[in-house]
Amino acid sequence: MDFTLSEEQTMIAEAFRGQLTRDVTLDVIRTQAALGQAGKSPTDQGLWQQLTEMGLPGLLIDDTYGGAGLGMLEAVVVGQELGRAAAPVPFAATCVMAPLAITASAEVEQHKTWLTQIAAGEMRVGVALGADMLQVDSGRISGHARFVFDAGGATHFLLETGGVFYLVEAHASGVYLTLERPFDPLQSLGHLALDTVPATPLSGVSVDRVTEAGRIALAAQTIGACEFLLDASVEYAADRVQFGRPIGSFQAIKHMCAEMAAQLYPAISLVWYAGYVFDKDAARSPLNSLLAKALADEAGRFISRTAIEVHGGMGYTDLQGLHYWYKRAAFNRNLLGNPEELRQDIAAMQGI
Amino acid sequence: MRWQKLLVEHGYACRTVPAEYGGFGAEEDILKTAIISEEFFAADLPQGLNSQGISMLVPTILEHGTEAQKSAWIEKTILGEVFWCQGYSEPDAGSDLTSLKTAAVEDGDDFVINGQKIWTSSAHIAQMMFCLVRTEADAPRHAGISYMIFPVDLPGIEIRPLQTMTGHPSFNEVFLTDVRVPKTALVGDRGQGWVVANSTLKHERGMLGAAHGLAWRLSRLRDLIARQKAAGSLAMPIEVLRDRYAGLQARVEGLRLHEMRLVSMAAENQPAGTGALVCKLLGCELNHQLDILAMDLRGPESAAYNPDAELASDEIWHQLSMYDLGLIIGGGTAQIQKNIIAKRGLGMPREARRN
Ligand SMILES: Cc1cc2nc3c(=O)[nH]c(=O)nc-3n(C[C@H](O)[C@H](O)[C@H](O)COP(=O)(O)OP(=O)(O)OC[C@H]3O[C@@H](n4cnc5c(N)ncnc54)[C@H](O)[C@@H]3O)c2cc1C
Repeated sequence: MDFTLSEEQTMIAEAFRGQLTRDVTLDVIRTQAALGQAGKSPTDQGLWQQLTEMGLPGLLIDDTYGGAGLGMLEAVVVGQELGRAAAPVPFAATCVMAPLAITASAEVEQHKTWLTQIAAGEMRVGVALGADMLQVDSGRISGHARFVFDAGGATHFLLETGGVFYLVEAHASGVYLTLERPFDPLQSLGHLALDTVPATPLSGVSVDRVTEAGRIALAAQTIGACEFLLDASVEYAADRVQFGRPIGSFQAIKHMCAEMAAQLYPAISLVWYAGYVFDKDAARSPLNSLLAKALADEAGRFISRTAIEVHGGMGYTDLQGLHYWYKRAAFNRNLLGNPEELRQDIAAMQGI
Repeated sequence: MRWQKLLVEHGYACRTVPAEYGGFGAEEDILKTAIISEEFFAADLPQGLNSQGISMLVPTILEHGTEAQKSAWIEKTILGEVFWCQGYSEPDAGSDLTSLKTAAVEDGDDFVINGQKIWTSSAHIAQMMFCLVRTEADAPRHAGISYMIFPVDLPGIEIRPLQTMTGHPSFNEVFLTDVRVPKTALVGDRGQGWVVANSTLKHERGMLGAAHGLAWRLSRLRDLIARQKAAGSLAMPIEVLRDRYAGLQARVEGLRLHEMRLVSMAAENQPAGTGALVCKLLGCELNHQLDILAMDLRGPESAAYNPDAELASDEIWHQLSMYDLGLIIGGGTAQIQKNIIAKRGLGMPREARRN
């Protein structure tokens, strides 16, 4: 196989990068972050509209339903660009996990309407896995679900409990959503309370596959954030002068940047490969998605704190804004398993 | 040696060396080379000799040598008939290699060499040395260096093995006193030795360095763990050890895929950039980390040491850990690798230079 990106994948990445560079300025980020911090949806509607036209929510959706019919590696490449831009839009749940789960379920009529609406950017789905405080009784769901991804602005929720996924409408009566104050103010996490809400079960959806996909999507955003942070550090180190010379001429700064590069490159290759394996070699995907997220999260932690250090006091400010990328890496790290948990799973999966 | 001959004849080793010098004469095709080495690894077959002569001297002579040097040395070297050592480092010139002082002074048709080399791996078992000497005493640092090749049994050469931490004398001090070599010993032009040597160092730090050694260590580790589990030993249930294992596996897998990506990029003539420069740093460090994890897994068994352990034995990890520590230093230390990544890869500003 070819371990570089294809021409098409490179074009997709460049198209998203171009759009995001234009639209996601630091001012936009600050405005949306203020909403997120206030417990509102941080999604920039205009941007969401633009990205929908470029095919973001329909990336993984079949073209008969208006999607692009692409694979997980393409989703990774796009996720990487969203991470690089610290884009205030939903991704892991709405654009990756929900489309995959709905595509995998057997009810074809439901597919049509839901997938078409997702691809059109009209239906936005928050997702919670392992929601074990829910009970389902004669088609109605009650209880609580915490850490619902992409909950802000969601029109529907996809909730997994006891190995079965249920879809509920966000505006049905009996649905009470509170948005948590997320560490990454540009993403959203919800706390749902449900009181006998009509729920449609999706049959034949593998929780493991949806989890793998979610991990890969989070890891893709993290490595994108890392790329941005390394570039920003190298650039800043060339400009900032202390002791009469650019700080990038000091070896301590050089070594920090070299170490960032050394952690970044393997993480990128491993996340790309996890995306590829997810579609092409499902048997190896469980292990590869764990390895990829574990490595990306560690790179994310190291690179995000080191980049801030390279920038000195400026790195600590909202003026420079590096903390948005730092927070994205930290937010992703503890969702769907942090590296410590994932590594235990990696060992156990191999009988170690 | 016969295996090596078979490999060379069939193009499985040294495949791009031209046929007139005893090679297979294949076009440069990094993908094919990578596939061959992958298959040999998968089949657990030795992929021929690997020595400083084959990996460094041969490509250098091919690039810079005279016709006479090519026909004299290449075939014998790739067949394993002649063994080389690398005489670069000196007591006062390690990382700062261009400060080397060993002098070669012109005298008729010869040069007369005086000085000292150190850390010269395998000099005690080699027949030939490729060596950096200073031919222009007054030229600036880089410009005064020449690259020479000569036998190590010439009059005036004294080789003293150095005891190393492994207990094996793997490297040497080499004293050169009025050593007379003909001018034909020069590879490339006089004063161009730094350029010539850099093409060798480039080969030494070449890509695809790490993946197989790392995969081999990982599979040995897995095997060790499986046997320990079968024997009911306590080491692996300790979560921290499992964590270390899985963390290293992720890093090894990341580096493996990164190297594959570099191969794909080279096959498509894309510049490798910073990505190619991180491999030596990561590969050496990960090897060492795997070695010491294996030692830790063996618990008190690792307090015992067998300096003559066989490669296949569980007692080998002490030696591997020391050997790999040597590789973190040799061929450019980890810190020097980081300097290179930052300067050549990321294009960061130069340090303040002494005058
Ligand atoms: C096992 C082994 C085999 C070897 N085989 C050979 C061989 O066959 N032929 C040969 O010629 N040489 C050989 N060497 C020598 C090797 O190339 C040198 O040891 C190496 O380049 C470092 O030089 P040094 O030992 O003088 O250490 P020094 O250069 O003195 O370095 C000591 C410490 O200072 C750091 N340092 C030095 N300069 C800088 C800088 N600019 N920035 C940051 N840190 C710096 C180094 O990273 C290191 O940590 C071998 C070495 C080993 C360990």
